[in-house]
Amino acid sequence: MSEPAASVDVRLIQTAVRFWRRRRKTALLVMLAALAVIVLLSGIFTVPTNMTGAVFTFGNLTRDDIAPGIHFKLPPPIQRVVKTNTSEMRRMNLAGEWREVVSMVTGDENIIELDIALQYKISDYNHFLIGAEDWSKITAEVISAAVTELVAGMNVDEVLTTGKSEIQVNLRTLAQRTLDRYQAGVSIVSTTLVAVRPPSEAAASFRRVADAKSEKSKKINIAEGRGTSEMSRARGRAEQILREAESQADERVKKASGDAERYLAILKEYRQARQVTRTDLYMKKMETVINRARIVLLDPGQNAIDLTLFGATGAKQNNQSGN
Amino acid sequence: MKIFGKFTLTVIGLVVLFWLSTSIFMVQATESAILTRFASPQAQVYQPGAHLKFPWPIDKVIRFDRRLLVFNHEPTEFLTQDKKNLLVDSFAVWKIADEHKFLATVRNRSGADARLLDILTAATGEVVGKYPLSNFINIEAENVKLNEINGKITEAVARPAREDYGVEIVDVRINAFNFPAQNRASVIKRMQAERDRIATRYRSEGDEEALKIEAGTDLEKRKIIAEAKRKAETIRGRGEAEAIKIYGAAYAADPDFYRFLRKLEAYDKIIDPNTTIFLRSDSDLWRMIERGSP
Repeated sequence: MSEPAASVDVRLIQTAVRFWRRRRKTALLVMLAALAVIVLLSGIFTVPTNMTGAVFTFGNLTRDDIAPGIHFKLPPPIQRVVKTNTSEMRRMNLAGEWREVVSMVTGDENIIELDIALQYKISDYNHFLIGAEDWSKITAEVISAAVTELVAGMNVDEVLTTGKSEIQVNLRTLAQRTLDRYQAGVSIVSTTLVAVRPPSEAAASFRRVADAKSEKSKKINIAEGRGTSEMSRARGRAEQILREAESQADERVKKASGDAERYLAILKEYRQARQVTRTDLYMKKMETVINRARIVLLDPGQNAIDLTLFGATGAKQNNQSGN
Repeated sequence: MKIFGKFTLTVIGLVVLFWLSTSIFMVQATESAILTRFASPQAQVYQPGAHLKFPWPIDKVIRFDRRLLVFNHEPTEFLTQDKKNLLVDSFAVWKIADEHKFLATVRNRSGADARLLDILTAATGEVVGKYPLSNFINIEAENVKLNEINGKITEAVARPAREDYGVEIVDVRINAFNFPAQNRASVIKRMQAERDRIATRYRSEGDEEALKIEAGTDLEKRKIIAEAKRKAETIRGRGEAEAIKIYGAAYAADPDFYRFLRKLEAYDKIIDPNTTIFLRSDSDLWRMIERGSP
């Protein structure tokens, strides 16, 4: 019956069939035991790193804190396992994901378009799993409601420039407060205003304002620069005036000293021979002076011309010299 | 008497077993359930877990989502109190609060969405109509009453939703508003005009500031020069004073001789080529000139 070519498998089955025929009860027990082992082994599951496991027992969420590693659960109809990456940072962009274009109205009735990049993570695994149908959708709605409220209270210039960081900070707190009211399973980590711009039809006008603004500061800078250089030139001129005055004063003093020295020198001579020096000086002067002038000699008898023309000094001097 | 074979019996046994197993049902953690017995809803609400019922087709399980659900209200045009058109976009967070009422009135999710749309539109219209546009948008953030408006809408929707449909409205929020499409063009035009005005203002401000700076520089410059001149005069004056003091000190040695020298110097200035000197022939000067000595 058995050929040499018959495999080990065939022989094994034949042995099993023989065994079944002879000892039916024992065979049944072995089969049941094998089944039980298989069922138990199927209850072994692993939770990968970064993930957290949750166990549902008869539908009820009974464990939500199963750490990475090997674990055991009861077979399928009784227990079910869900694994989620609970430490992962989840990202979402409002524009494109929530609405194609996110358009809002500012406090001064301007239309602006914006986009917010949002980071959130699971904060309560239990609530995340069974609290809401779609937390990411709720988060997007709540964020857009919060940003609408913030933008509505600012003017367009604030929204486009200085108000950006204020929006980012307040947006997170405002939205998180709402999420907390819903007992959300997620918490917002950061909200970033990645784009704020006027609608394309008005973009050119906004650019012109920016240009005018930079033109303004350019004008001011130029005027200030010119002012600075003019001021330094004026300070230089002032310095020059002072130096000039100083040199003049110095000259004046030096001349005075020179004159005084000359005078004292002459005086020294004069004191040694008063009359001679005096006559000498007088004559020397007269020589130079009289050469210049025409001299009319008068006869005293005629006495035709008043000699006071020569000056009272002259007469006096004559008197003195006559003495 | 052997009506059925062993095999047939086994098959029948299995079928009966399967039929009996339909009397066990599981409610998931995200669900609640009620039973209908011959299509008539039973009073008990089943929470998550395993439960027993009469086997099919006597009892049927109807399951409800017990999680928070979101209803998105498409942008709809409303009139504010001051008759401004506003395109309001809002959402409602809700959940099923009364399974029996929910089943009786709206049956399922899409039925609920249709009813929510109706009551939400009515409530939003009513509340928005009570506030002027300046409570929606305002450059003074404290005048923006969106939070209050949201609260009022939630309040207005909550009662009918609960009483009529067994739905609990957790929150309603306006999450965007805009000007309707037909107003957009005029808003854009106004925005452009406003920007042009601001641009002009910046330009003239630049000129003004520059002129101010120039004028200020001019004034400062003049001040500096004037101050320098003042100091220069002081310096010159001091020099003059010192010179006078030096002269004074020197001449005080012999005032009479000084007067004499001074006179001689004066002749230098008094007598020039146009001067005619008349001399008496008996004058000292003439005699001195003649004799070479006094």
